Amino acid sequence: MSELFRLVEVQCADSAQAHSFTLSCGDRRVFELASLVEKEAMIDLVTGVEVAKHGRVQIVQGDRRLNKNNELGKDGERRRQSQTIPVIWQSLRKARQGRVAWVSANGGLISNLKVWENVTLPLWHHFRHDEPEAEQRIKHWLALLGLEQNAFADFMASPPASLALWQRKLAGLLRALVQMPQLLVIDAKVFEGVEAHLTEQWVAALDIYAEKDGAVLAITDSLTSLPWQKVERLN
Amino acid sequence: MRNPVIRLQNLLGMQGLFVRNGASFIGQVLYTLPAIFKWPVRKALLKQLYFTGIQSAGPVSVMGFLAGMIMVMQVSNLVGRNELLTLQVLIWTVVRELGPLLTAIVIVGRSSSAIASELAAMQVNGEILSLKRMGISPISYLVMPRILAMTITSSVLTFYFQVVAIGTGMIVTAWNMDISLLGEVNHFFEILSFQEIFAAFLKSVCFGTIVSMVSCYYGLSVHRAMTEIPVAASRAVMQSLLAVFACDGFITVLVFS
Repeated sequence: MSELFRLVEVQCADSAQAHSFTLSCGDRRVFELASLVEKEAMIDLVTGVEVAKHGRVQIVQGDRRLNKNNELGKDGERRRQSQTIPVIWQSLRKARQGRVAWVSANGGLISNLKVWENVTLPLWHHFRHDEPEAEQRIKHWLALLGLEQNAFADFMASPPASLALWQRKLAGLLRALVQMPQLLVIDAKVFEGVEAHLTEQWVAALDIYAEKDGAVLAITDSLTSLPWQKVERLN
Repeated sequence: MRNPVIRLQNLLGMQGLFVRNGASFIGQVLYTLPAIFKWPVRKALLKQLYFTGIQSAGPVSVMGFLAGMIMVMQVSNLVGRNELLTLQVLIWTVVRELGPLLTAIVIVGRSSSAIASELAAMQVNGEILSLKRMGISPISYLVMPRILAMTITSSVLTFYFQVVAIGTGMIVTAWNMDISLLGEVNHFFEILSFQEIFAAFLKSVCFGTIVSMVSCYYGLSVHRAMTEIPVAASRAVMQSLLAVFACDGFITVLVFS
């Protein structure tokens, strides 16, 4: 499995502990941190909002992103490339646009945009504007996340304020998945307060995404029931 | 030798901090200007043009109509039956001062508080942080379209206000003094100079930029408390008005002294 993302000797907030780990294609990991402050600081580091004062946060540079549109299958899924991609690490801060997606605990939707605009915002901001392709991707992932096809139009036309919390979380998850990023960073609290069958479907959808050339990193500051392995710290 | 920007900041005291932050803000906005080619940013720009421009056209029309009519009535009372002087005063006042200033006041009233409170609410709700974590710069997605839209809108609405006010003034003068409207239009083009058009355009562009910058600056300067939202909105309105009048004085001195 090819490597995608790595943290090398990174310290966050006021914590004295340094973290080092590597994520490869297909990895789904839970990263447990000691406190909320440390968790928020780590999210800022792995999403590229902040630069690590100590250590390095890096992502693999490759042809993956440039060929993204050519690799789409009929259901909007990304196809595996057969050739070997050379591994060149680069700083996440310089290369993060569209390659790392983020799912906030409450979905993190922008209140003055409808769900459709929210979902397509990072996709069209980082990549080209193509409505049919976006619709295809959204329908594909929505079906996997457990929303029925006949509810699609109403859901997409709704403002975030009119949605239930689980629907906002679903929209946030959908927004990250349609980007098909190299790394999907998710707040583990997304799965709290959601019905068990939905949680199962969401976890399954994330597993499918990870198996198609991606990695999922769930960050938490408390115990979680997510079925994924914990991050193996190298130090 | 110390940095001249820091020296200027120290010289200006508290206002200096605003000037320094404002300068840094302008730099960031200019840096993100190429983002206008991205579809979501273009869409945000169109929304702002509609909100600040199209929706302000009604109040600007009413104000232009009333300003033109009041101006002509007052000048006629003062100078009597002198249509040339009446027209001259109308043009001087409306083109040089009232047009840009009243349009800016309408924009401040309608959009300044709205922008500041919208951005402040987004900041408090964590939406700005969410944008940053998605790799979208709030400056390129939220601030730049607002500044661009308000600058364009301010110059277009100023021109529209001037057309309505001067048109109304001419019609009222022609009606009152029983003279030809076409003759008045001819006089208008003789009286109007390039300097006046340039000053009006410069003022409208500067006012639009200043109002939007000040509104966005105060909107984004809140932290995490809901109580900061109304404070940011009222500060944005007051500081915008002060900045508009200061800029008006500066440009008037620069162009007409």
